[in-house]
Amino acid sequence: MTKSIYKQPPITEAVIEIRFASPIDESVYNKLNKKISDFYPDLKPINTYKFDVKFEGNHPNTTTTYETDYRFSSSDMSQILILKNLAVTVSQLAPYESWEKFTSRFQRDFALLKKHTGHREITRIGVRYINRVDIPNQKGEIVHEDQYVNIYPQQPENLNPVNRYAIQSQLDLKDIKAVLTLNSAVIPSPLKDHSSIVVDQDIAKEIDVPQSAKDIVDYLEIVRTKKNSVFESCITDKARELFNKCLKI
Amino acid sequence: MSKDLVSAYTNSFHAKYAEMQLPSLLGSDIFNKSINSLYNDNLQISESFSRTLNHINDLKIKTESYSLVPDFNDVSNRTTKEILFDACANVKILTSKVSMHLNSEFRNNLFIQIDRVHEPKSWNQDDEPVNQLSFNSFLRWYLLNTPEQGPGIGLSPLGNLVAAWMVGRDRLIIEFLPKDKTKWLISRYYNDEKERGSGQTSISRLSAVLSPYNVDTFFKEKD
Amino acid sequence: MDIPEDDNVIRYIEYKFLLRDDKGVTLGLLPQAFELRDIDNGKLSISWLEYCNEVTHQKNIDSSVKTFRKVINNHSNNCGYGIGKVKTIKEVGSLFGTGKINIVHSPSKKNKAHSSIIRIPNNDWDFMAALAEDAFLELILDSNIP
Repeated sequence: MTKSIYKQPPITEAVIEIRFASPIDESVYNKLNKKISDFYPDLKPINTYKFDVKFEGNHPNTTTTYETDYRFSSSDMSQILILKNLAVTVSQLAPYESWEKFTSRFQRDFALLKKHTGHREITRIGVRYINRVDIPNQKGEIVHEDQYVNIYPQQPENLNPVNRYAIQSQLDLKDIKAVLTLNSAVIPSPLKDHSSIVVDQDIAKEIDVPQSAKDIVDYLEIVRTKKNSVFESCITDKARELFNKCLKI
Repeated sequence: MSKDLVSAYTNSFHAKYAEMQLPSLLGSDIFNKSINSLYNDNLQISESFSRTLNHINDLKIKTESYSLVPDFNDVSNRTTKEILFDACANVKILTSKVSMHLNSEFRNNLFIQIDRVHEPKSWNQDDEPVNQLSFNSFLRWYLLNTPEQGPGIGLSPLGNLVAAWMVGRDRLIIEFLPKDKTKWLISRYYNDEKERGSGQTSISRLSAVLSPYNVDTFFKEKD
Repeated sequence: MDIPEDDNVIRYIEYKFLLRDDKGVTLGLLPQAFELRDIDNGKLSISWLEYCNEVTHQKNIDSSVKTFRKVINNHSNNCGYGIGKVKTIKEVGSLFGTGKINIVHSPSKKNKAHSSIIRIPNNDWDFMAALAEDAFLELILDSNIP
């Protein structure tokens, strides 16, 4: 599959997540704070509460856990790093510049983390790309999703057209021992006089997970080709025309 | 089927269900009916049902990012600086949703202006920071009309974004309200006589409403 | 006490209410600079420029700015000050609302020159614009006052 570069890439968010087998001590994050703030000036702790309910016999038992994750961001909020108890997430919101810039930032941040945590077993690598196809629709006409995407629900003729849909499918990517989760949905468009369809793909690897930095980078390059191929399979030429329109402003 | 049997079955499923940490979607009545149709002679959950539940659980496990769902809405116990930071962060994240349609120079300039009007040192505590819904109206208008010349940005005491253009003595001021509404004001000099118009309209209608005033002079990029 | 019609009043204008171009150059006042908040109780807060009775107009401005810098919470040097003649403000005001607007001296503990514009139409968009464009004709930036 050839590389595609669009004038207006439809990517709204790109995410790389690494999950660990064992939790990272909070003191590590405190040490990292200073170094990371050179790259991400804004820090926001995110506190989450989890409630578990288990039934033992006829009696429910609840346990509550409290976690703090750390969300670092660039001043324009487009580059994000999240340090969690069991994971690190590098995220890029639009505008998405390039795979090279995104992954080099991931490598930098991951290397910095590894310096302070040492080797930790990695249990999962996830790469997620969320795309949005914005379709001009001034007259509020029905948009036929099959003209723009190849992933949509199939319904009996007498039950069409649909106002909204959301579908999810999951399939094994046997060649790379990963799992692809594919979402597609019609969402309220952020643009006036437009309709929008999201195509969201998540490639997750939990089998034979690469452990060294080099192997992770090599794997990510494979995922790059795969996710591009998946995306191109999910869209039509009509959608591609939209991504190649010149910016007016 | 005896009551004891159903009860035992229900407890067994709930125990396994809780382990999977799935949200409870099934009412117990519905569940009992499905058990009746699915359970095998060994009085365990059927394999096919168990597989279905496992698949549902697998689908839930996705690569996660908090960046999609910022939670900055709780203002209790926050300092002014934090409230202002969150307001600015929210609108920047809002902007990211349409950044692929924006010129980077405009975007960068917009953020600089937004940050400047939210300077904590000079903030009036009686005022509201930028309202997300107002900002959203501004973005949607901007993408609809794509003016070459960017506006100066101000804020109303209630947090509505104000966009202003001035050419010579002529001025155009638009206050963006939530839900794609605007208040507009235009002053133009014709043969040294000032003419002023004002009104309220939607962002879709604004262009038509302002057309008699030849607003292109404001929106064309200055040399 | 009413302020003499030939005298001026000066209003503190926060940065976000200054009309600027996209490069940040200040060009004038936004109508929002005259928007009333609930806490204002229907009165626009200003200062009597000639209260200190300085020798020149500029010295009166310097003196008023000094007072503003002391009394206003979170005063910053990126703000501005709008100055308007009492007579002009009244003339502009006479075109709006049902009551006759007035400008009265209402000294406070912190600011002896404090005054108020009263009986103004509540957040009338056109009235606010008229004040910004036709009444408060002189604009001083804090950064220009030593």
